[in-house]
Amino acid sequence: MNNLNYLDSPIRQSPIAVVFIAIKFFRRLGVFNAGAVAFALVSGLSTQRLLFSLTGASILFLISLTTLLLSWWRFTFWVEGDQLQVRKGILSEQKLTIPLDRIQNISIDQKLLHRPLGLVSVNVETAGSEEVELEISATTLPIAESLRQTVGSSEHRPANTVTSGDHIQDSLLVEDETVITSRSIFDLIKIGLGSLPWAGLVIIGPFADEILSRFGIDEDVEGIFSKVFELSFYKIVLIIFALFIGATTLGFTFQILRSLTTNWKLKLTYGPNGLHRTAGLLNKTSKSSRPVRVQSIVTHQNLLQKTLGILKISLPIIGKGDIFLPGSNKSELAELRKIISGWENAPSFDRRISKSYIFLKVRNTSVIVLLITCVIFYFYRQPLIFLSLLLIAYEMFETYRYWNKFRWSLEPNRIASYSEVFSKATLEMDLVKAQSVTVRQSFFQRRRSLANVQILGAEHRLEIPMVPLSEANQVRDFALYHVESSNRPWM
Amino acid sequence: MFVKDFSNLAIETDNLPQIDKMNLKPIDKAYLNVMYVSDAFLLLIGIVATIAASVTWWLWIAPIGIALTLVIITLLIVAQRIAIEHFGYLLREHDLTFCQGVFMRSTSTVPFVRVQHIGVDRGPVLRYFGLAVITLKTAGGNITVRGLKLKEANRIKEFVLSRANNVSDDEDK
Repeated sequence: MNNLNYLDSPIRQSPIAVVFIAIKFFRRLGVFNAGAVAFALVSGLSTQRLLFSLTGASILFLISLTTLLLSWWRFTFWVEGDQLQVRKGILSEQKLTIPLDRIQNISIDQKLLHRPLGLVSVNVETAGSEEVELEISATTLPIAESLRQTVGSSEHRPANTVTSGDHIQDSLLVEDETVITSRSIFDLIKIGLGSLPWAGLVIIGPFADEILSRFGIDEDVEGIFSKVFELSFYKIVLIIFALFIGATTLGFTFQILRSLTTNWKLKLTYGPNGLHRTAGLLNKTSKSSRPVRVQSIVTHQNLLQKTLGILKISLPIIGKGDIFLPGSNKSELAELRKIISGWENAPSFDRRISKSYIFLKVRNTSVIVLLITCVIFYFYRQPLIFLSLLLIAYEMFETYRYWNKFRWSLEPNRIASYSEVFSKATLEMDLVKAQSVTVRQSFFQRRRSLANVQILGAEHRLEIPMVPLSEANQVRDFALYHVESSNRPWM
Repeated sequence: MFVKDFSNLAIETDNLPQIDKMNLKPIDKAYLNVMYVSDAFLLLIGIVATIAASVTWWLWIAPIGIALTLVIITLLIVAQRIAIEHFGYLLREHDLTFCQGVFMRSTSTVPFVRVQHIGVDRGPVLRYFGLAVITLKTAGGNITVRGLKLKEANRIKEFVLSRANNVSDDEDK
């Protein structure tokens, strides 16, 4: 089970790590800036000065190379008892001690550059700070995996059981892990189709002129626009229709390709080492955390995804280790509910919010739109400007729909909200995860004895707008009672 | 829609301990003085700006500018006197509540078991009036109780520290 022997003495990163650190360093420096400076130095300088600057540059290079090598040499990490130890620093030694049970998540990534060398990079995060606590740029997979397993099993590890290192590859597979989700190619295509096709097209914008010239059109985009408007109405409609179809097809292709590369072999497993998500075709990623670290269960479903019968589940974890599961379905959601908080059912979503919400939300928009319309009308006497009042109608429709569809529910241990305008979103939160509770009342709400109640978690906020004050207070008292009377851990 | 087969256990919310607005403790009125000090600074800035403007452009800016500054400061003082009436806090066995706001009234509560960090802040002005500001920080949302007597703030801090484990405190930053 345990692979502590890999980690019980200080280990260095793989020597190749120096290259990756250097690449990262230059990326932060800005490759283009460095290039521009070099070019400026080379061009328009006398030979003497050129030699001088080249010498300076090579000295700088040597210094940074030495620093890199030294920092690589001095960077070691190992596991001692229940703590992960890190030692680093060139001149002054820094020692970092991370209790294993405080680690929020571990991500193991294999970038394209890592692939041929068989190396991986590892990020370890705790809740303590914003940054990643331990960043290993390159190490071997067995070391990374044994670190993951050590952390995952740190809570229920039998004392002093160390197995031989030869079994590590087997033990990786023999884990009694259950596969919660795995995606076939067909699923991945579905995920691609479920993403909005237009989002990916933004990147073409800057290359529009280039693409047009490839097709033998030497005009710039504006020139084409002015020509198009000289055509007949019928032709304009035809062109717009063709463009729409073309762009949509292209967009969907992009999204499918993106889905295939990022979600390739996406798999979420659950076992003694916690939740483990792996995916990726070119850059392989692996994220691990324990169910207790998951702060809430969030789902999103847009209209395309609704048609395809899929939804996107996100499991927020403190730090950057959030687990995303695109292309999920309700049975997977039910299973995750059971694993994460032991909930057997979907939330009942049996409570609503006050109708006054429509008035409150539409009022501000209406005032602003009316004012702007009147000002514009004062300067340009165009009756068509009053079409902008349709915005108010749209806002009314949207708010009405939101109010009408918004549901929430309060059960022992769980508070949940459900909202829908065009895409649906749900948030389920274990009451134990609540950090603070706020009841808010504006002047408008006080006259109607309504209130907003907001429950803040570590990674998200759950806000229920416009409920009767007594109900809001009830939710507050109930949540506080749960947090204060329960001994269950929240992270 | 989602499945409706669920168990909806009755929640006896009436028996739960409630936060009673009647028990709220007002903050120390001396905090008004701290606000006045900041108002005085504002007044100073307003007068200096007015003088500078009237010297560089036209002299008639001076009376208007000073009158405007005075009106704004007066309104501010009135608003602060009203606002301080609505400040209140409530220390219970397991949590701390802070109320504030005249138009937008908010009541925030932080349970001690979720507190990550306690800060007692004492700036020079606060120190002069013997006051302190205490902040309870959690992983999501903080509450700040302004205008407490130093002794009271320290007592609250000690109490919270005794109730919550693994809390770091930093005093007199």
